[in-house]
Amino acid sequence: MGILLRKLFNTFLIFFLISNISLSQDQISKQLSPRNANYDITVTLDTKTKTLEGSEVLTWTNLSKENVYELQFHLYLNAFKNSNSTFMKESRTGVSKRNRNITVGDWGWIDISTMKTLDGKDLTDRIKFIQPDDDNIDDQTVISVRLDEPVRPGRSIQLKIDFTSKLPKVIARTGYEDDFFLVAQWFPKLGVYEFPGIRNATKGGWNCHQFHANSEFYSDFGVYNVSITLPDNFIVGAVGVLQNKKENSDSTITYKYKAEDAVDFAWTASPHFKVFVDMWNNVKLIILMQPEHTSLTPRVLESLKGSLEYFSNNLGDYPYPIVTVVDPPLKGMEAGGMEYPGFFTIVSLWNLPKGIRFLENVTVHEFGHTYFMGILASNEFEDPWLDEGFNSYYEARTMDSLYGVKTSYVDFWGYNYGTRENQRLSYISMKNPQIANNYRTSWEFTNGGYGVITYSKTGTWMATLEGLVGLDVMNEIMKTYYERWKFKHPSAQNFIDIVNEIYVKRLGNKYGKNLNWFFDQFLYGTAVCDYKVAKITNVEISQPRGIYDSANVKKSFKYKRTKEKNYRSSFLVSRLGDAIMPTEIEVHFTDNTDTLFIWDGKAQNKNFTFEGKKQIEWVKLDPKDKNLMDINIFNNSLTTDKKTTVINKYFTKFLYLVENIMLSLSMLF
Amino acid sequence: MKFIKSYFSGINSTFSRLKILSMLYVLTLIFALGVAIPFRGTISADIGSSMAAIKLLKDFDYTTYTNFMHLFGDTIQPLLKTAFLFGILYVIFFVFFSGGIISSIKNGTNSLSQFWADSWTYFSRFFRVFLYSFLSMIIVTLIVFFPTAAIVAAISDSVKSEATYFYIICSALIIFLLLISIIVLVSDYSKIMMTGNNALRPFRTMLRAVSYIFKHFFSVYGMNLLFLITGVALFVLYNIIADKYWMTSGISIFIVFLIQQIFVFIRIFLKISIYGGEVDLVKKLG
Repeated sequence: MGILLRKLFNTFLIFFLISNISLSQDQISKQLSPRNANYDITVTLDTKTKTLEGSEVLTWTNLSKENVYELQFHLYLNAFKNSNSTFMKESRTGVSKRNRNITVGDWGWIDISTMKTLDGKDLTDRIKFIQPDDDNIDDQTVISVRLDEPVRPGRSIQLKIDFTSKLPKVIARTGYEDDFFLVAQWFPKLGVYEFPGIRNATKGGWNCHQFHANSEFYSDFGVYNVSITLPDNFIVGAVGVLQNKKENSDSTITYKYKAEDAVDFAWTASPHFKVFVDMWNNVKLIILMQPEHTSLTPRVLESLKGSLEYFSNNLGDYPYPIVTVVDPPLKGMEAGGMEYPGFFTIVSLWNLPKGIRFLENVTVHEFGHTYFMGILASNEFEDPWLDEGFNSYYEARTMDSLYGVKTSYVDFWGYNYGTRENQRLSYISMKNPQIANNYRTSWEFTNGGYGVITYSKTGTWMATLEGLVGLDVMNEIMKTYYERWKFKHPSAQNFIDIVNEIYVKRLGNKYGKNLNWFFDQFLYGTAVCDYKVAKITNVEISQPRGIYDSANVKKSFKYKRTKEKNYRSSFLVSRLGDAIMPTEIEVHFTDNTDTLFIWDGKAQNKNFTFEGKKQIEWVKLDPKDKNLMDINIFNNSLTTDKKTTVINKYFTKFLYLVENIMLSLSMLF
Repeated sequence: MKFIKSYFSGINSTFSRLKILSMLYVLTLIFALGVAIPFRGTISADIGSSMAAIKLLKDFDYTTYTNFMHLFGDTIQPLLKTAFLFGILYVIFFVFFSGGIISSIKNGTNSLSQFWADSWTYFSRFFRVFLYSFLSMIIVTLIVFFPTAAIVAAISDSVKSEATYFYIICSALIIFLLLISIIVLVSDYSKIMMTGNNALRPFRTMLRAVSYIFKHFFSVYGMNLLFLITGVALFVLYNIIADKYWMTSGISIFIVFLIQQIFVFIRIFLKISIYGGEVDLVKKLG
């Protein structure tokens, strides 16, 4: 009976949700996400006191199958309230490099003055600060609100929350600098209620972490209707689309924005922005540049349009109608390089030389976050590699595609390198690449390494995975991942399942029955990859000489001078690291022939032997540079013919350099 | 224009001092080889039998270069320190030789024994000139960059323009280079004055040189500017020529090596010519 009732209830619930979605689609627009956390916010910015007075109406729908008796909210700005917040403590202790000494006048905070249900039930007294991650009682970045009545499955709750936010001087990519404002993480924001089916949840519960020095954010999708009032000389940009603006009698102006299927809402304001508008297909592009940087706008637009094209072709369609790019001033650079859905900040400098492409790079990277975080809304607290790492991988692909593999990051006065090269370098240059694995929460990088492991190492092993399975298969993996998990909350296992599925479909068991071994080593583990061609030997096989018995007949062999020599040629490959990777090996012989084969890479030392009339001239491991995780490229090859040309070239250059330095110094005295 | 005539006179006088010039070139080469040979040994041991380095043959390759520096940077570092020490030693050697060079120009001789003798004669005085010049350069560095930093810090609250910071820093740099170039001129003219009247007090001579330089600023600075332009032109010419050779084979590397050494030779030629021009200018201007 109970089962029957539950089935009936589930059927009703599904029908209710579907009909609700259908209604929404008709009424609003094509709904892309569950839209279960919707915000209507009215806010006024006092540009003198750097304070926001706001009121929000939150509508949250319980998508789980259980009653929810409590709500949990982020109050992110309280991370900058005092020196003992978890964020500030972690900054000081070196967990994060974003350590910065801010003065007392720069503190930021957020206060909730009232919280009521729409029918008038006051919940303000129920607000309780909680510290789910570290029990730091000075940290006020998460609150819990106990409800009298639970939010039942499929039902919604509406709350009206009045709040005041004092913005800090720009820190961790939010705040003000003079009259520039990046208003981010500024309103009471609901955590994510996870239940079985979402990420790794085995039971229902709030996922609402404190603000950590390394961490970013995690939210449900919703519709944001935000009304912003501020002095009328300010130019505003925001997540979503401007619906209208109204000039008020008190020299203020009110902007109304709407953002659909978004996980967050941030906005910016400054009287100095120069506004540029362009289009890419049906997407409106708004670039808010500093007056001194206007000459850089074409570069921003070129990389933005290139990104839209590349991501659309190689991952999935861009679903939003707009992209807004914000260029912070020099002194507000701390606000640069931050991302929200279809809205992000860049970093630029006056007269930045064209060949130095960090402007383009940051544009591509931050744009990419609309996909990896904005649409594929992974948990940035717990799985930072899923957004930052995957985005770094696509950033490198996009940059290399737009500006050249060896020139995408810098191409200046004969000095050039690419974004992917740069990412790999930062990983292989780590003093201790085993300092931490990828698969850990952002605040667990207590010995450092967050940035390199999360961004660069992930980008590098993703590129290595691409090398392993091939670009076509990799594209299918990523497109499938996007298609299945867009506007949802994917986890590591969700991604790995897709990798294994596509791998088996396309490559059979080329590298084993699945690719779990790859993730065990590089995602969950800290394996280091280093293969070496240890030695090459070419030994002449001596001709048989003397008397040999053959079928009771004595046969005599004599040395024949004219006979061609035979060789036993061999080379030894050593696995110096603990990572095991299938490795292509190319062997070149003296008769100018080559052979290419794949070795499983398992043995600690493996000897390969060839017999014949030719000798081995050189051996190359991974000749097509597919395995970017190998930390030493110099021992991946060996030749019997020492390459003195390169040595002589650099000897000559070095000699000339030393002579010139000595002469230049002597010219001074 | 007296300084243009002196410029050519300086160049002409160097042509008749090829023995001294050749000796200085050989010494320069020996000094540089003292660092470059160990460098060759190091890279040969580190990458000699690897195919990876071939990527550096045609062009600059960031991955190869950075991987090399990451893996073998520790073995290169001591070489760079040695190069720095050799550089200091070479400067002192050149201070030593400047007595011989200037005397040879003034006396119109090309004798190596006289050159060595004159070098010894003036070394202690010239070395003091070197120390005073070095000290002056440190002082100039401090008096230019500390105020600049203070100005930048003071205006940072009110000035928002990045261009303003750029122009302030550029202006400071230009002032710095101008002052350094004047110190270099003072050092050169002091040496010439000391060789001429056998003055024994370097500091007093330097003060005289300062007054001389400012009295004939246009000519003195103009001629040295001409030499500077010549040097820059040669630098550009070298790069144009060197760019034509990719240094991908033994022959092309050898050709570039020869070109490089010719340019080093010309640089030493120019250094002697500067002294020649300055000696001639002092004669002409009195």
